[in-house]
Amino acid sequence: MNKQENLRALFNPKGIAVIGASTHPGKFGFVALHNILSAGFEGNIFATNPKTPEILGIQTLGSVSEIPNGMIDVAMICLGPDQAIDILPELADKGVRSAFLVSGGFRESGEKGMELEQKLVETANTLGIAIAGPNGQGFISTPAKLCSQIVSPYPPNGSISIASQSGNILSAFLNLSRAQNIGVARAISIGNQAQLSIEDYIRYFGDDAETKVVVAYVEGLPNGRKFFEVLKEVTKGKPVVIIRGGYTNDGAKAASSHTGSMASDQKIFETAVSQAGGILAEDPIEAFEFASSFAVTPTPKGRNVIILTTAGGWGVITSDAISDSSLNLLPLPPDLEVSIDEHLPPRWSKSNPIDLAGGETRDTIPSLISLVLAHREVDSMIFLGLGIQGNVARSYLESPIVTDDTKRMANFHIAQEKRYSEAIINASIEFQKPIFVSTEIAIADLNNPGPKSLKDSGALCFNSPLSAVKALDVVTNYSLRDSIS
Amino acid sequence: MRSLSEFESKQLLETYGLVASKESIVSDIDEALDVAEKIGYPVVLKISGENTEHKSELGGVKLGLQNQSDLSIAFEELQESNSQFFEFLVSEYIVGKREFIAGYLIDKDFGPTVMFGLGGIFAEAITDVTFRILPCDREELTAMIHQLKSSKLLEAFRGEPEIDIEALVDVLESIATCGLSNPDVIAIDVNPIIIKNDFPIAVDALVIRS
Repeated sequence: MNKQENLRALFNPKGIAVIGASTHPGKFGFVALHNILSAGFEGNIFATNPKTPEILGIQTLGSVSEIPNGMIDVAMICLGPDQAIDILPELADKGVRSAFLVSGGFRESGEKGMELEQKLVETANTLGIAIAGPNGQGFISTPAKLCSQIVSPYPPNGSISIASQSGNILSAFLNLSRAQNIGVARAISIGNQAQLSIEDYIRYFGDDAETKVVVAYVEGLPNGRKFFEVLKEVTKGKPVVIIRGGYTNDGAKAASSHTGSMASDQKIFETAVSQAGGILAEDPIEAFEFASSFAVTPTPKGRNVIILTTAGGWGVITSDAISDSSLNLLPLPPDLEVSIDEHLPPRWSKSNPIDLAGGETRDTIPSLISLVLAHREVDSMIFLGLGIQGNVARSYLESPIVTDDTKRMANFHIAQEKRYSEAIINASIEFQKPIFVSTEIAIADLNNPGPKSLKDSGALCFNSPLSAVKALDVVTNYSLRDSIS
Repeated sequence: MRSLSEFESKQLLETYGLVASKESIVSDIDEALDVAEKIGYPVVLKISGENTEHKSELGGVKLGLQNQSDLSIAFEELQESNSQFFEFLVSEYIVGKREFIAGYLIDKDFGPTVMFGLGGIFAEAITDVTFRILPCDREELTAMIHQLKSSKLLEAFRGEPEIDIEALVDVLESIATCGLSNPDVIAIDVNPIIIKNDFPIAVDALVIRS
């Protein structure tokens, strides 16, 4: 069986059948069908249920044999473990190449389950069917408008693909994707990894044209060495972010050696990930920040960072974070200082961080963003203070005292925030250098026009400069990975 | 599962390039005095042979013996307190302020790995170790050395010079090659590695076979 070909079918099916569709809105067999219909999948959709002729407006079929030949290549199996295995030959006859098994009752449930899982894999291998799961929570493929995932929102379309052993971690990632408006290509809850295991998904994402960055969460590996080799291969072409977790292997230690007592499973796992060129993230939030940075910002070509700030204190904190990273807080080039001088009154910092010290007028910030980013020595920028003018606007708008002047001023501030966010996005595209924006206002006021317009345009906005610096460090290191001596 | 003795372990590792303290097996005091003369004082006397992996705990190690008389007294004491051992090891006494540990381990998921870490009296309080999946090149081995939290110790330290990093990489490479070349070797501990001036010398080693 060519697992990669079958995975291509799973994420880009011509038709999908929900086997064991349910009438009960609390059951997986209902939710899966509902989500497939609601996300707008345009291929063929079938559902089987021996008792009810119609569910959610779909004419159900009494059995798999009633599905017309050649109409489906993927099955979403929502049956008990024994039935799930028994149905596989019929599905193979209908052209199914990949099946997602939501069914529990396999390895996770004890010895009998373990035997069933073995039987499942043997049967599927004989039939040439790729099995995702069992005991998983479904999958998503936004290029195919396909969602069979049960527990989380459908994310916007994008270029991040994620495979997770934990349904909830996957769900957390999709929540962030939706909240930040930075999209996902493929997402899958990989369950017990009975047949398809994490490295199969990582390899598929590595070859997938819709995927720019790969994310994975695992707590155990059926074949660690293969995972290591595949990771090493895929990271040459695409960044792979691995979320730290409670990684364990269930084998006894090789020997009662001193070296053995120093080797926790987690330590060896993290060693393998780093050595293979993978990027470790502390949690799904950090993984999302790293992945988003790769997905929506241009790649930095070097380590030189300029901080542009209208918020002095944040500038100091950000400089400190940069000095603890592999990034370089670029000493302000003299020619750049001369150019900036023409835009600001003399009280500005005249060093990096470029602190405007309140000296900006209407066009200063957009001009400075371009000016700085255009400079040949600058590789990236961190922009601080977005949303401060929006905050001023809010206090006028919420005030019991309203005058023509305060209204006019509020509108000016709102318009300025939108201009800043446009300037950030446009300059970043024009000069092909990343601008990492950080403002706590992104969470303090979701409607603030600064961070909100960034987010509406699908750009990245950090809540903390420490996260921004860490993410910039990660993307810079990845970008320079071959030149690190 | 069988452990090689300290002497056998070092001999095996030396064939892969490990630099260990100079030493010989002796069975009586005359032999001990002869060997000590060849190696040069000060020397170390240790019990040797099977079941001596925990020789320090058994009181089976006498350090810093400065002359023939020290060695004779120590020999008598070891013979009396460890009457079940008939074999002894006379070694060069290596002194240095910096100690490291290194090893080899076959992980169940990822296969052979090499370890490097901080040794000495603080090692139990401050776990500072790094690993690499094997095989890997010298560049990775160099990186794992610099990855230690206590990598400041690699630089000039309290009157001792900067450590010869290439020589440390040689240590790790010899351990890795020894493990990878002998499928029956399931674990190796080299503990301690003492830095004499700038050069790492393996002072004790243990090879475990399946």
